[in-house]
Amino acid sequence: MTVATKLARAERPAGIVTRALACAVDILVVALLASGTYLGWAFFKLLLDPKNFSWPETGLWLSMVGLMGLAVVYLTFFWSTSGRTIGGTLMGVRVVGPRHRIMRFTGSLIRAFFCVVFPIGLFWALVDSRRRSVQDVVLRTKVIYDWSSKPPEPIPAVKDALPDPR
Amino acid sequence: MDDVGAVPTEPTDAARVAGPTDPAADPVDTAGAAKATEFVRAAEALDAAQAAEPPAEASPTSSPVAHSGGIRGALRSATGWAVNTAVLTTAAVTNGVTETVSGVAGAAARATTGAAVATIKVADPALRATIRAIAEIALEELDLNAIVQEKVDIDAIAARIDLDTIIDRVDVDRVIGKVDLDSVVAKVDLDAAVSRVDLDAIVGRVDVGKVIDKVDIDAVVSTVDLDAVVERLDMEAIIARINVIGIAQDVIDEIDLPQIIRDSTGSLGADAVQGVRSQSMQADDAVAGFVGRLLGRDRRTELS
Repeated sequence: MTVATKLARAERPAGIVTRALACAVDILVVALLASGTYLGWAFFKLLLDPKNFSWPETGLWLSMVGLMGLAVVYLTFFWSTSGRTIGGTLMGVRVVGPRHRIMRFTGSLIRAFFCVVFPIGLFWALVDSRRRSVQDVVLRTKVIYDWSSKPPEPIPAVKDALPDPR
Repeated sequence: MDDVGAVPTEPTDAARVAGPTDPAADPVDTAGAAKATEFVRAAEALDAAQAAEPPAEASPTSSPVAHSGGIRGALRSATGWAVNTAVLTTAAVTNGVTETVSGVAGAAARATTGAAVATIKVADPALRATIRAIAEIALEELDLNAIVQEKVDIDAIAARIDLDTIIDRVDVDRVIGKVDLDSVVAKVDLDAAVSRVDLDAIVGRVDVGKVIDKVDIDAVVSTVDLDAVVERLDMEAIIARINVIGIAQDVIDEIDLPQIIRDSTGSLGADAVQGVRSQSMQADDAVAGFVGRLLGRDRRTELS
């Protein structure tokens, strides 16, 4: 398959509606994980001191920080392994890096932090002609439609695809 | 049997010599002949007695010769000769007398025998009639049944009877041919007879498998109107007796219904997801198109 063919058959970038739904699912999952973590922490306290048990108090700041940290961990893990989170799997979208490859851990971590800290940057995909968010523009990533379960087939560099002039 | 008019026959000389007549050979006058022969036998015995006497045929001339000489011898001889002569003479006379007497006795016996025979011939019918009358009176007066029961050993008589010989001489087929079996069977209480039969033992000895093997079941079933049989069935009652829940549970266990549900759910879930994805894609395109029109963007520049 030629580079041009591969480029032509590259997945279409996902729009705002699909990406928003995927993000909503991811937020729900993170909230469930946070709740589970909190309950686990409370149960652990109950085991340690059942007589003097009281629900753990985290405070708003700690809660926010914990929630955001959990989100970063969640996004980083899934983007670096398969490129799709639970929400992305449900909606059939995948985050890919340059040349249509799955992002590495560093890139996933940065993007995850960027998405958690600046979630409003997602809505730039509504305006962008190529449906890219702020994070995608900065980090040169894409969110594409991918309904298959197979990892994306990387696209070689154009210079590698061109015949050797010599 | 009694033969009143029969004329008794005079026994022949051969019969006299032979002795009493054989009743089987001379059935006509056995009784009179028996009496006659008794007289003859007596005469014969008398003759035999005469013949059995020692011979007295001593010649008068023969005399014991006394070898002793002398007067004594002569005297003795003479005496002896006289004695012998006397004896011989006496014997001769005796013999003569005896013969005469025997002859006379024989003649008398013969005459008597003849007279007896004649008498018997005449008296036999009367005697028979008399005996018959006496017998009839005796039969009327006597209870023969009681006499037989008391006096006769019937068991001993029966023990001496050869039943096998008697049965061999019986024509059983003719006997059976004269029997009205229908009337005999009509008198038999068949219910009582059957009630005494151990049917369980009889059935237990029957090889039902062999009986069934001989039955053409296909031919039997082909004659059965199955539609009529089914119409007479109470299906509701049959279904009420069936454990439908148990059967359903068994079917579920066999077909692995949970797996089917999972598969169908999975397919339903996949279809639902596919549907959501498709609609979200359409929504994306719609939103992008709207925004593009707002911004005055050429559709060809989108997604470039």
